[in-house]
Amino acid sequence: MKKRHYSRGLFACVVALAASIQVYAVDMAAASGALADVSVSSSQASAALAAAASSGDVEAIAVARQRSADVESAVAEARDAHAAMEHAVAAGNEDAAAAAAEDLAAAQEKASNAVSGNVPEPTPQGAEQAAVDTEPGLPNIYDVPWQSDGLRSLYQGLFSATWSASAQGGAGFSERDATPE
Amino acid sequence: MNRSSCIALMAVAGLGLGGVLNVAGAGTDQMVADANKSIAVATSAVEAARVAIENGKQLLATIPEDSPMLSEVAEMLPAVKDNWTLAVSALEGAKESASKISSASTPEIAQDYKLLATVNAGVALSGATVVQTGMLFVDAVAQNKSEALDIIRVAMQDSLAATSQVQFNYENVKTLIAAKYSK
Repeated sequence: MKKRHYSRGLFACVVALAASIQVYAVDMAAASGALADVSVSSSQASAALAAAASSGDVEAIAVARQRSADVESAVAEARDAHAAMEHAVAAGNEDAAAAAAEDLAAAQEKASNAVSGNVPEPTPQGAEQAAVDTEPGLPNIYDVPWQSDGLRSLYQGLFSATWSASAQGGAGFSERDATPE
Repeated sequence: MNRSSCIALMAVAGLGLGGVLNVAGAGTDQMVADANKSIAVATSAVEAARVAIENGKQLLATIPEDSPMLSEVAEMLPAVKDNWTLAVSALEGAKESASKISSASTPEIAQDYKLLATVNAGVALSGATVVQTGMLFVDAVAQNKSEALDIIRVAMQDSLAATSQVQFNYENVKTLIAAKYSK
């Protein structure tokens, strides 16, 4: 009876192992597919640049150049992620493989967005700048008070006054007016 | 394990399998839709490439025989021709793979057909963009757009390199899928 349980357990282990090997195989095939997709974006970006050049529109050429550069950056990221995924799968490191797959998916999306000219959602840093640029009447919640221009000029004024009053500042105590008048 | 618990286990397993198969059915429709979307984009690009070739034929006739750019055009045209052939055959392959998604015996096989269809559509799309870029080069030579020529030349080289990568990865996908079923 006990032996039968062991053999069932062994069978279950073999099935699970076979399933995990298949999952890796599927993931690597899908990863190669994703890498192919990123290269398609690269080809499209080059074609768009050629079309812009043919039109002679300087602004369109600049935009196409920027998009092409963004796509090439995504291609490099995708290649790195794919290589990392290959290493992780070879080493049997499932977590690293999953992380690399996420990086690859992110690079794929970046390339796709770059080709279509989709602007990604602003990051916290971008939001900080956007708050400064677009909402001049509203307080900027990202502003750090002790780094603000007002306080900076106040400190500068205090320092100037102190410097002027010092022996090195040129204007000694004797040269200062006794009263503000 | 007694008989009643064995039957209960089989029932649970049967219910679970039924649920998986139902989900797989719904997933297959989505796979077909995804593959068809990629194929539609590739078909549109191949059609645009076909029009570009027709225009390019007329433009080629306008390039003077003593043009210094003619030799470069002649060197580029075989690459354009190869990519046109590749694009057309890859598009056919994509359609064939997509047609097998619904009739696949398991969700996993359906997923593999979808992957083949999508990547093949990508090969067709990148091949078609090479053709279009090549024809833009012919247009630039014929119309003496000297400023555009340098940019288009580089774009053509980049596009050819990208298409090679797409093909290489397609071969990888095929090899990995084939290896899975040959075990």
